[in-house]
Amino acid sequence: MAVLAERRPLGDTAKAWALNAPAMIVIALLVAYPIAYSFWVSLQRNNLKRPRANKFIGFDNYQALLSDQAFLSALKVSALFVLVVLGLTVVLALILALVLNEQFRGRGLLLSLALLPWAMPGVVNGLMWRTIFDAKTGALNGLLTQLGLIDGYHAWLTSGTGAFLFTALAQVWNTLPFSVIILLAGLSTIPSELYDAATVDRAGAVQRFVQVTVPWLLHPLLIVLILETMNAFRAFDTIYVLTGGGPGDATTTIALLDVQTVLTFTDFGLGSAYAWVITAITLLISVGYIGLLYRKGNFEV
Amino acid sequence: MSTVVKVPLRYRIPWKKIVLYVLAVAFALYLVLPFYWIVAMSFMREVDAIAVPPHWIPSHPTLENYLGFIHPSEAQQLVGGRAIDETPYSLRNSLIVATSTAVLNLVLATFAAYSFSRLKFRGSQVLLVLYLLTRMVPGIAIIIPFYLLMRTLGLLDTYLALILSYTTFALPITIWILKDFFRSVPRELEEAARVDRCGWFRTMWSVFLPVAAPGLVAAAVFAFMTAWNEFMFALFLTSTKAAKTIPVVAANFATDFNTQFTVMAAAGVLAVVPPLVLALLFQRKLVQGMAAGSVKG
Amino acid sequence: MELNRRQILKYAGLGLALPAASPLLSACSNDKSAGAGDGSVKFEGWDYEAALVQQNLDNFTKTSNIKVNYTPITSAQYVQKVVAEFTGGGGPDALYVYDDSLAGWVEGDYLQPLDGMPGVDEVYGAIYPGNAAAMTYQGKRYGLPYYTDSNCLTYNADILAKAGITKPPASLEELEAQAVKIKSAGLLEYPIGVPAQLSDTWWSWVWALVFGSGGNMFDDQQTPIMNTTDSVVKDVFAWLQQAATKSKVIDPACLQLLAVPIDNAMKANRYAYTIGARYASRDYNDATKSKAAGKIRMALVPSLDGQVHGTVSNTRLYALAKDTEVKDNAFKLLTYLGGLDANKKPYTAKFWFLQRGLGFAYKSMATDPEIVASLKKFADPAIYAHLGEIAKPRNVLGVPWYTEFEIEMHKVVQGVLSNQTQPSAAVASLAQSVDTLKKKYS
Repeated sequence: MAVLAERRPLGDTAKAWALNAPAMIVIALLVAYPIAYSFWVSLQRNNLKRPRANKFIGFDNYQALLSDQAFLSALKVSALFVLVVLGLTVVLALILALVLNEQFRGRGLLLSLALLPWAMPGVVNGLMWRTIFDAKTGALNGLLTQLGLIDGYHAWLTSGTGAFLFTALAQVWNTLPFSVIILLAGLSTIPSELYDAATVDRAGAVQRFVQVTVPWLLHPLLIVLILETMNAFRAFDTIYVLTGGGPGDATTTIALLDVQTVLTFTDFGLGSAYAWVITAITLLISVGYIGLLYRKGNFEV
Repeated sequence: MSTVVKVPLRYRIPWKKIVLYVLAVAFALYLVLPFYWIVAMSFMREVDAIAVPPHWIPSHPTLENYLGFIHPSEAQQLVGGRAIDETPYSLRNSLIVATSTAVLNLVLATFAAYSFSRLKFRGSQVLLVLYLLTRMVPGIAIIIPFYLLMRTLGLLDTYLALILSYTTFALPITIWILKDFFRSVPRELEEAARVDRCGWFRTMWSVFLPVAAPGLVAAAVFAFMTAWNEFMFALFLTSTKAAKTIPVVAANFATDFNTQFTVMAAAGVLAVVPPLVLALLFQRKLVQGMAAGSVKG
Repeated sequence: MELNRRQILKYAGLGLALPAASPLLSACSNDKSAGAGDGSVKFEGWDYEAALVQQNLDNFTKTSNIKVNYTPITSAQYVQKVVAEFTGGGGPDALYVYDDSLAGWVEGDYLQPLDGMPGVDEVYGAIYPGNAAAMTYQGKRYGLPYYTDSNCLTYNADILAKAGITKPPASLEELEAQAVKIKSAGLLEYPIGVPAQLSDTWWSWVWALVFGSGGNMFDDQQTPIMNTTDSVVKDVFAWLQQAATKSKVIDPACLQLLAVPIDNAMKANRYAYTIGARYASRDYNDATKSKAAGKIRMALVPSLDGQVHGTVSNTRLYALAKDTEVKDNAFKLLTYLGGLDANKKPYTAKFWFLQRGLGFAYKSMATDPEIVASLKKFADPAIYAHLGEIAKPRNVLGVPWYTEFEIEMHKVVQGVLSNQTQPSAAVASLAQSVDTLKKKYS
């Protein structure tokens, strides 16, 4: 009997693994090896400029991070960047999704516009904002001057705070659409009966939002949070084109520093260690996210 | 005529409508203005593009910036002509790479996602998280080993190298999107088909997949965008116009000597149009496709 | 367990099938790295004027019967891509090298020395010492010169004249005073512009200012002296801060400007002065590209005391890969490009100067009548040649931490320009960075 009872799930398991095999093979062949290799390299002193000095140094690269000023500063910039970008993205995406979830003339057009930034490669996004923020001929300067809000052209990206905020804004514009789609999709599945019930209870708009919309949106919101955290932590092309990380260290995020360490300084060992710290942080946040879902009890895999 | 009587009685300021339209207009401006600026610039002459105050509408509209991609003028050939010359090729390459990535992704992800949505099996959660884990390692960490791998396989500067790498990037997310959508497809559909003695593949092809279309569209568009927008791997894995994609060429514009703003803007516009058309064509399905996924786990 | 025998067999089968499939995969590749076996030379360079390069290479193939497979690489990522190629095996046979990269690429075993090869001694005797030094590493010679340039003060004589100034400044004090005059005459709000946005390229103008006043950041043992025996760096920083934040003659927007926008501003008469490469003047004085054509002049880099003068040069060279299998043909190509021809004339160097005004390392070219005639169109030949003679390369190009230092220096100078860092703190922090870097690389 026991054998018979177990046969069925075993068959499913085999079938499932067979179905997963193509995807797993592609990923294992192409990514698993580079990932393992990069971890191995992170345990080495490995600068492509000095191949003869390469050697295994265990966790020394990681230990050195604790006193690595560039790394610590970049980590701080990144944390702030993630907070600002994430905060703005979530708030703007939520409002935009709520607007799009209503019926009004021009809704289709607005939805189309909401998809526009998604179609823009990060490099092009950086170039676009560079012409807009330009100190001499930029559209932002032109617009604000014509509206009478400023008296003369400003060099927006020359102060640390300015560069940081404008870079974050450019990044938000680029990453907004994906969040909007997910949140809008979530909103579109809220059964209208729930709202009707709330209306009968004479709940005001705010109460309805808090009591019906937010709980229902919790899951899509968390998905947005996790994906956008990952994206913001790894944001590179827009910043690179817009400020190159400056002025000073103001926009040198950990992702930018990592690319610079690997590609410009050819320090593959240290760069890999940076990358694994980024991975660990992203993983921690994701675990937190999944834990949160479990507690909510609606994580069904 | 009765409405005329009723209006004053029931008239309330439609706050909700007003707020809605104000927000809609504000968002529309926020979304479109930056892009409008490069579109406008792409139809301007260089002198007008850097004018102060800016010309919001091209005062001497010209197609020169676009025509230059087909027939570079003598001046363009002289200065930094390579990025200009490569733009049409890179658009073709991007289209081929992104489309192939989307297709390959759909095939691989559909199989995998089906298993998560229909079969109970041990290790399924671990596997799902493992897929996602491969996306958490930043690209820069794996780019050099990846380059070496592609070199060993002799795939440098080919479409295949890019298609394979983007497929691995997009797969984890597309599997998640699809598994959630597939779950929302009622099992009864397949069971009914099986009663009709359709084989498993027939069932999938003619019954299951059509119902799952919105999810497939969402996944495909996601994969397409991932491939279209990626820069760093394209930079390393390609070297000639045989495989360079549009972000790589766009980056050339940023660093080339003597690049004109206006030509750069035209290239930027061209880089946005194909994925935008795709997203617009499928926008309804896109939202539907994500809908199932974002609500359930 | 979930793995039953059949599954294990299946996985094993896959493992066997894959290596077998890889030759199939490589069949579809465009990779030309596999030697064609016909003695053709794989040649790589950054993509400056790729069409002209190809034209020149075609000429070489015609006369020598040696085929060249030339791949231009985006200049911004040239170094990274070449490093990746050499790391993966199968890099080019001959290639362009920046003087900044030379030491690293020699240490990385990418390049081989040219000592003892035909004509090399002759070339090194015919070029400026600064260029010869830049192509030499640990006593061995690794390249033939592609082009070189040194920095100068470039100014718009028309704007100066409008402010009643007849002579370019010799000292930094004078430069500031002239700029203030232009500013108060209402001609320009910010007369001086320099590219000061962070980027991976070197900031030649900082080095030019330091060398211009006879200072240096390092001694010959690459020990930092900017905070000890050499006060020039600190004084130059103090001047920069003064000009940027007190008299406000250096454009504050510089912090977000790369080289190209500075060029555009010069061409649009929006700056009166900049410090940069000599060859930019050719473009600035080209009526088809520039509104300032005919007004741009070149002068020695102003110094702290107005007496000493110096400047910095860079050298771009052609080098030979260590692992090349076509050494003879590759060296013939190198000689054609960077050496002397049968008439003992630097054919390609002259080609580049006449075509694009690229600076030359060959001393004899300064007196070549054809060159002088062409040079006169955009610069004073005497000043041009003088700059070439006094220019010297950075003396830290050979250290492995140079790139890191250069970027660190950019950040520090940004701090000086925006009044965030005081000059004395700036030099102290530079010396500190060198210490940290040296430890890291020890």
